[in-house]
Amino acid sequence: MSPPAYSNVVPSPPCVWSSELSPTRRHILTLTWAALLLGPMEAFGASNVVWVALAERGGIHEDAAAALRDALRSGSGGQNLDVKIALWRDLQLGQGPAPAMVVTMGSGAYRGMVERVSREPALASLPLVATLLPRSSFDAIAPAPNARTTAVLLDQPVARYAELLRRAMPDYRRVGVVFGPTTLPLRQPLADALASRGFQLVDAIVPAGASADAVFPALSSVLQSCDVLLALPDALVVNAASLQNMLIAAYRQRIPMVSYSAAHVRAGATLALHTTPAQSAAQTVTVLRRMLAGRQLPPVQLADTFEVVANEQVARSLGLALPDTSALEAAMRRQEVGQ
Amino acid sequence: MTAFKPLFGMRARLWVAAALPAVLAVAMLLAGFLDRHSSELTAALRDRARAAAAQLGGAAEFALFAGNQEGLQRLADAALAGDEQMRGVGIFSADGRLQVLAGSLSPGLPAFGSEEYIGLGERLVVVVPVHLVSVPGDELFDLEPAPRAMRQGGRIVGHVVVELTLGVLQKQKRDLLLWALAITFFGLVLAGVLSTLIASSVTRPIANISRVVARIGEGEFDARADVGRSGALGTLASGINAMASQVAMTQEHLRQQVQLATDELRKQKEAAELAARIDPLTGVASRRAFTEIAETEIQRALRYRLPLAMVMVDIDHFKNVNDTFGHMTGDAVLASFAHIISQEVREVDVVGRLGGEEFVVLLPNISGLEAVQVAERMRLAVAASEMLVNGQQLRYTASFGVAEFDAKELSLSSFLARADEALYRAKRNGRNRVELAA
Repeated sequence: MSPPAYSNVVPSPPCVWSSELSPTRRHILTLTWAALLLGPMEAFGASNVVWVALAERGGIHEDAAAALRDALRSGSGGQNLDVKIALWRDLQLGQGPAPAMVVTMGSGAYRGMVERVSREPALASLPLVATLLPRSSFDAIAPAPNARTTAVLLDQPVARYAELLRRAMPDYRRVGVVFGPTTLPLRQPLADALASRGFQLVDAIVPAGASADAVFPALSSVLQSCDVLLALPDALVVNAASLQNMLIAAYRQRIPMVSYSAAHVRAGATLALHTTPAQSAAQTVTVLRRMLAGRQLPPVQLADTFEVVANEQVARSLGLALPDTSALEAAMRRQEVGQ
Repeated sequence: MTAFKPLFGMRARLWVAAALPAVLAVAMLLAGFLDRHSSELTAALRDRARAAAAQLGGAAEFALFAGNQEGLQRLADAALAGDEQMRGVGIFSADGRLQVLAGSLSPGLPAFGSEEYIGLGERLVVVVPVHLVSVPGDELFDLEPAPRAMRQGGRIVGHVVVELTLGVLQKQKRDLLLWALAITFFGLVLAGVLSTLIASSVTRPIANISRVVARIGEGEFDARADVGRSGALGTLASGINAMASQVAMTQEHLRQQVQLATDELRKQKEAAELAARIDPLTGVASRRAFTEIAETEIQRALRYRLPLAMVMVDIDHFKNVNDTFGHMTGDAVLASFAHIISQEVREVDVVGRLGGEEFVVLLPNISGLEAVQVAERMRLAVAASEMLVNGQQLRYTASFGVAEFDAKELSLSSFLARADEALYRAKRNGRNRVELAA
């Protein structure tokens, strides 16, 4: 269960949301990879200041920011780094040297920085790394981010969900998913990933602009004919108000729910595949080091490390014998590295 | 009994004095308690109704979310069956449409809002909004930080209305009132018994003292109150005792005075009687005394057949003495004469003055002849005597008639008559002589 220390992280290739990328982005990606291989570039070497922007003080965002700073400074040459952690509105240009790059922690900080970039042209030229946010937030805040923006997302590659299902619940064949506007692009990749592992996707779609009342009928229809319910991060489908009843509805039909959040497992989901803030921060550190080393801005990344958590009590009451989560994680990681 | 009636009144008054503040305090406490408890009962029923509605709301949340009419109906029916005071249970959807109804609801429900509603009229109506419970999700995945209200309760998916009858509440209030009155009654009875006992400590000594006073009034001056058992009224008891002693002493003094006066009177009476039996001039028996003694001696002589004689004596020419020397001298002569003849008789003999210068001597156990000798001695003694009056010698004589009692006579008067007859003969035969009656 314990996340691996940063120094032990085996670097895995960034998982790319290939289906969503335009040919242009695909080209940029290729260039980025080339730049990484080619070595330092002048662009990021000018300053040793890194801004870490928060939306509010305290909480997991500031904890992750502190972890990020400590990890950055403990690396080689990190002692010279000036990592400034502050609320996004308090990080002002002209007070000391301009930063080499800006990191935002969470959706709120990213939203604030995007607003400032649109007002302050001087900020637009700085590389911006959005972290601790899901794809749905990243897209919602800036549908067309500028070229100097990248992100380390919390989302998992869909294949990882399929792999988890294959290893944890091999007897369950039909996987139910309610897609919302954010997750709809994942429909085909998920169907493919499932199909390649012998699963069948049973789905329903809540269209963009539908009311909250539309969720239950969709969920109902999915629960009618699936063996396991997979919840993907979509604000319209899974939110604070709907989660409880989603869990109840699934539980009543004795259908286990697999989710993307450890909080959901605490609330009653059976299994979750998620990335902790610390794991995400470690991934961000790797990205930042490369940038500080002069490499080019990397593309938007999905989570490369993860945890599997299970609610043993719910699993037991559903008559489900789950493998040990540590063993699951290790096996899945080995497989990903192998690929 | 008359002493007890006012005593009972006093006891009742003492009891009222002791119990009245307690009764007032209890009445006020009771009023306050009833008021407070009645509002607590109402609050308890309200809380129960709220709790029932909230519980039903929680249970109905999923069914409302899922639009499950059958489930809602089951819940409403169960809620109605679970509380006998519940009259109606209704579950409404978020748009205000009635989804299911168990029992009946009064018309005129309030407009539904996000706040719960509690109406207390003829019936208790509680309306509770049903929120979708929001589970703490994963804030990393939230686009916006959830507003605080959303963290506590999600959007409203409907309302639960429960309606309770107040009949049981009113019965509880009535029971409470009866209970409180019963407790008060028993408390007052207990207080009454206790205060009566306490009052007795005052009334009992008073009763005792009253009885003592009554006895003293009836004349029992030795009646005394028990000071030791009079408690707080000991001073009164000893005062009463002192007063009784004083009265008794006064009474004794009066009695002694009366005794003294009575004794004096008796002595005077005896002296008077004595005076009547003794001739004051001569000191011999009066005519009445002589008559009594003579009657007694006649009876004795008859009973024992003893002789009895009588000598009748008359001073010769006594009128001349009176005329010559005056009455004073006459009286002195009479006294001297009585003294002389008394010297000549025995102790048992009785000398009496019948009147004027006429005397009589009764001689028991002496015959007529013996009596003649005694009379002769008397005659000689009289004749031999002399008196000095104004330097002149005065001599006088007397005549004697002797009679012996005859058993056939049976009366003193005839006995006297015979002696008198003999005296008459002595006078006729020349005076200064003795004659014996035949």
